[in-house]
Amino acid sequence: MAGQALRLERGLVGMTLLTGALMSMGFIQLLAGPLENVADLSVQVLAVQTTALATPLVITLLLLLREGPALVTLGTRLGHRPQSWLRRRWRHQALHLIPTALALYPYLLAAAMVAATLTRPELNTLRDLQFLAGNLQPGILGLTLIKTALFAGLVLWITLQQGARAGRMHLTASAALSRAISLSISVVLGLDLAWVLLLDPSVSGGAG
Amino acid sequence: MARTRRIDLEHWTLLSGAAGLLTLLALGMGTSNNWWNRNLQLSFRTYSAAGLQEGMAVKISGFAVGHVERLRLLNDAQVQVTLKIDANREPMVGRRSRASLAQDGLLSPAYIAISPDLHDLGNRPPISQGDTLIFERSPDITTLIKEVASSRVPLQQMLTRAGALVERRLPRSLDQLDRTLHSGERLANQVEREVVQGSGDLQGRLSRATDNLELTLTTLQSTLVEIQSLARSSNSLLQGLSRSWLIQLLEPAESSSTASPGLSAPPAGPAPAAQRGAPCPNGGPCRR
Repeated sequence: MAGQALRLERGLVGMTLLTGALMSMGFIQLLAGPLENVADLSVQVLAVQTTALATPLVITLLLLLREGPALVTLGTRLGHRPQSWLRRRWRHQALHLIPTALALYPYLLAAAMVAATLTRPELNTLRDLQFLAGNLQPGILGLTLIKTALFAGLVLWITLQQGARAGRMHLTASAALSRAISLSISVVLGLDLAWVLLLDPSVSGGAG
Repeated sequence: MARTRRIDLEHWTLLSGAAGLLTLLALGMGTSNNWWNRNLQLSFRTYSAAGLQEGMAVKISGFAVGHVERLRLLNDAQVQVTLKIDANREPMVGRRSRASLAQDGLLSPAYIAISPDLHDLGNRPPISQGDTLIFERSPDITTLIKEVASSRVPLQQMLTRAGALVERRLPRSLDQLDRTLHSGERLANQVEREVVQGSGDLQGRLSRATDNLELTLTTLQSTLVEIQSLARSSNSLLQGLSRSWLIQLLEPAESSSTASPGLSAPPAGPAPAAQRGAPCPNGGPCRR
């Protein structure tokens, strides 16, 4: 069941596209409105870059909200098994979840770029898109992808672990899910904060 | 089974879509950053990295040809700046090229300007990968502001001195100028008056003198005419005399003596005596 849930499907991609477009448009509204930034291309670049940096966090949260219940249920079933079973299961699930998370990244970024181009058109659409793509730094893109994979793996481990804990302690699945969500968000945000504080955001792709 | 296959198909389709989008992003980045063109790597050294940063544009004649790839602090505290420029622009860069930090305006971003080397173009050995250019540091805005600030004090002192001088000397000079102008005006008025008064007399005298001169000229002209007619009459009288028989008789006798210039002047035509058989120099009559 969980194996099926971890596959890419239209609903998940659609939600990602919507999130990317909304984030980009939100940044543009903020930059062009209260911050009174009037240069369209600058606004677009800022919006897309910020979206690109925040993407690992957003994708991880999307996956957590969507796949969390199934993963907690899977963990609950493994509660009475040895820890090695849980690790083996994590490896198996990670082989699906991490590529899914990585595959969502270009969708979200593409949605953000298209939304930015359509919200504040400066040149013709293709030139705009090429300009925005040209402004992305390959190093930062790579680091963000690594961060996405890391966050996805962590969230997967946390949800499986919380499910197993609930199984061992005879807790309800909803309580385990709630705890898994809050714990995952805290860990991911904490890690992102540490990433930003320890590494230069301009070279590390920090979301801060 | 069919449902699983459909889910698998959807999964792989969406995964392929993601891979396609990632490829497009990479293509867009590559096109904008010249990944597909051959690049030439050059470098220069400077004592300060102030104003330099990775990614800043490199331009030749104001045209973007590359970017700053890396800044590195060397062990001798110098900064090595590595540039990556489009290999197509390689012929413009030579040993005489200089790199400098430039900026088009106060707010525009700074860039590295490379001066083109057009000496012996086409015949010189090409610049090679990793060659080092000479960096000429142009005065930055801070230096210019410092220079302006340092020149402010002497400028202010000079202006103060000039102000004091003007304050002390200018009113006096203006008074003198004013007086001079008044004197000049008075003088001009006086000259004008005298000219107006004197001009009447002068004009009368001139008129009289002109009349006298005209009269004299007329008299002189008639006198000259009379002299001319007198000379013509004298001439004809002398010619008449030279043809008279009395003069012809006297002529042989007085040929040795000095005659008056008027009498000895030969007539315009042949002498009548010579025509009739005037005596030859040996005394006898000449036969012709």
